[in-house]
Amino acid sequence: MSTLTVHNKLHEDFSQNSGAGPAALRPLREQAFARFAATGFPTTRDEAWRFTSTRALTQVDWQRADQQAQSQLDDLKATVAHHALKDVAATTLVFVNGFLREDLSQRRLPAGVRLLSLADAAQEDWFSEYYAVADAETASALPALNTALADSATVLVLDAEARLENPLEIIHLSCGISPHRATFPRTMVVAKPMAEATVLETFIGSGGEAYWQNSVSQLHLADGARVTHVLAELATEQAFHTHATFAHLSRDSKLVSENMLIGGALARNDIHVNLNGPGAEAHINGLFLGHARQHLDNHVVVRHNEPHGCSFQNFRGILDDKAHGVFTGRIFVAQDAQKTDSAQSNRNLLLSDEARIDTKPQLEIYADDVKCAHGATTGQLNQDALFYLQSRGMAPDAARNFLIYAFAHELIEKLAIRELREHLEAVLVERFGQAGALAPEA
Amino acid sequence: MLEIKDLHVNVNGKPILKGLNLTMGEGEVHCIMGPNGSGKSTLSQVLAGRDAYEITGGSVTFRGKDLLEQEPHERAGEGLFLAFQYPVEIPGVSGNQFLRAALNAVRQYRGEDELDAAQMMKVFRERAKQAKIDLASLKRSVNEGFSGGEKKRNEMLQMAILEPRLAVLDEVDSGLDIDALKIVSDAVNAMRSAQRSFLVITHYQRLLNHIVPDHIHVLVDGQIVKSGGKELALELEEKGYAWVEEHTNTVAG
Repeated sequence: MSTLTVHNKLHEDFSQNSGAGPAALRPLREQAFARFAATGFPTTRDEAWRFTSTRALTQVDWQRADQQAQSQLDDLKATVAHHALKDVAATTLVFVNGFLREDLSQRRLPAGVRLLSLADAAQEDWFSEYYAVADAETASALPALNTALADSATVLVLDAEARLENPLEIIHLSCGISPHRATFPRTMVVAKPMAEATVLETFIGSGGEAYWQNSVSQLHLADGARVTHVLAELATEQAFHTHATFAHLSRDSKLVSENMLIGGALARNDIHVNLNGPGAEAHINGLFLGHARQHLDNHVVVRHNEPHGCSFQNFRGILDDKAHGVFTGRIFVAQDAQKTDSAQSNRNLLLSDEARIDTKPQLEIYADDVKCAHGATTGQLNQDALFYLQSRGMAPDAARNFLIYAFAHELIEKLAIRELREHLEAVLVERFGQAGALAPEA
Repeated sequence: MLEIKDLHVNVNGKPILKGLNLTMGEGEVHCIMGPNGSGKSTLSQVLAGRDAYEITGGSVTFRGKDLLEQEPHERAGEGLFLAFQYPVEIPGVSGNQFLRAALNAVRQYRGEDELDAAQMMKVFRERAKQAKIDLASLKRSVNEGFSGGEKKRNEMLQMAILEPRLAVLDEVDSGLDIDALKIVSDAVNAMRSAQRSFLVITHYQRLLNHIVPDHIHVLVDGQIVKSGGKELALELEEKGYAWVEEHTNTVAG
């Protein structure tokens, strides 16, 4: 319980605000906060957090970030413009410290999609079933803390058979001068039958102070829906970011989940994918790029509950200096989930002797007619390739960066939406391009 | 252009090149032939600057400068190009990205302005046309999943775009069918000029039906034991390397 005594401000916040907001939410929030109060932060004694200590996170008396960000509007605009998708007529919703900013957003919604407030969403018949489900799915109480404290949410409802050409973009920006500021971003995507859309969520921060974003994204895919969810975690390197995505896939639906962990002193990305209808398909890919003393943890749990489902996980880590990466990929195949086809790959590049990776596949299979492949490799840059590039004129540093870029780029180049691919390429070039003559693919 | 004097090279402590001498002038095409293990590939790797080789003696001068003092990328900047016997696969980047980075690096070394993507494309098209090589491979990841012939053709495309002063072709013919061999040798022939020299390293006489060299050297056991004009290739084909080796032993004995 010692962890909780520190978090007075979150307690105060909850007791002051729990009465606010839609009535339908109140019991959910109370349950959720009780859960967090009873469980506290996860520790390395929890199997799912074995390689990631939350100690630094628990030592701060976090306080909800101010709604009124101190930053100048021009600065905010510049920050948003730097990170926003370029040249694509997408909807861009910008949340600053958890609050939607109309003055920074492009709310022009394409046909076939509705944006609901949390209060409006709470009136929908599916709401109470969907909203709380996240809290129960993991041993960690961090998603429950989000449920308890999230005042607003982005709820996107995709109409049946709607087909959105351009990505919907959500930017979560944490800014301010408080070193104890915490935000609780919450996103729900409810895709009705046969709806198709791409949702990009970008998490960024400004300033040199520590901050914490504890976010949850929920994806509910009805029969035949196709959703691509992209998470770009670009927190500052003083920041803590704990995120959990919960996806529920109905019959013949398809999820593509792309995850880029780049920022953060500590970033933890939980991805829980439930294949709840026959023939559902999930592609879960991730790239984590750590340097200095960053700690980046990907925790994937895929549950095959119905037959003829398939899931493919492909994660790549690049770790330099004293960075520590973690990949855990758990595949659960229920007894009824016959003909499941599942594969998992984690490849890592260690660029320094002090960088570290913990990679752990976990297979739990109760059906007898399934394919379940997994593999993990960890290595250094290929010396033959380095020499090949140098022999073509690239200086050693440029050659090294070129190979790192190539290793990371392999995950991105398969993205179907060109603007999104270019956006993520630009992120990579920003990180690895300086020493080389790298340019994104035109 | 290139002057190799009494070059001694060890690999894992074992002498491989044992006093190799070779002088090439501008615009000349020289061919080095030799049996397996004679040191052909060691020579090409040492010229390009691979660090796994220990140079125990001798000197290499390239365009008036000490080549052995230079880093691999500096050698490329000076105009040296090695067509690899086994080109490396680099998944994740396209040939276009790769060659743009390479050409700009080389241009920067030579004090020339960098080119943007559109200017690059123009250069690529012109040079590919000149070397009679299709550009389509540049859209794919570098060498990934290429057949043997595609890899060698890609090396020739890189050569055409980087416009070296000296191209070292390390067994560029090995494993090629006759069609691929023709594409590779057509590219070399199209690029021959008074300013550009070629050092063609091969195990097989067949290549010399397509690329006609000015000089042929026979490398045996780390030394050039016989040099001559293109007629030497025919003699070698008729009598085999054993003839040269025997001949050498007789001379040495």
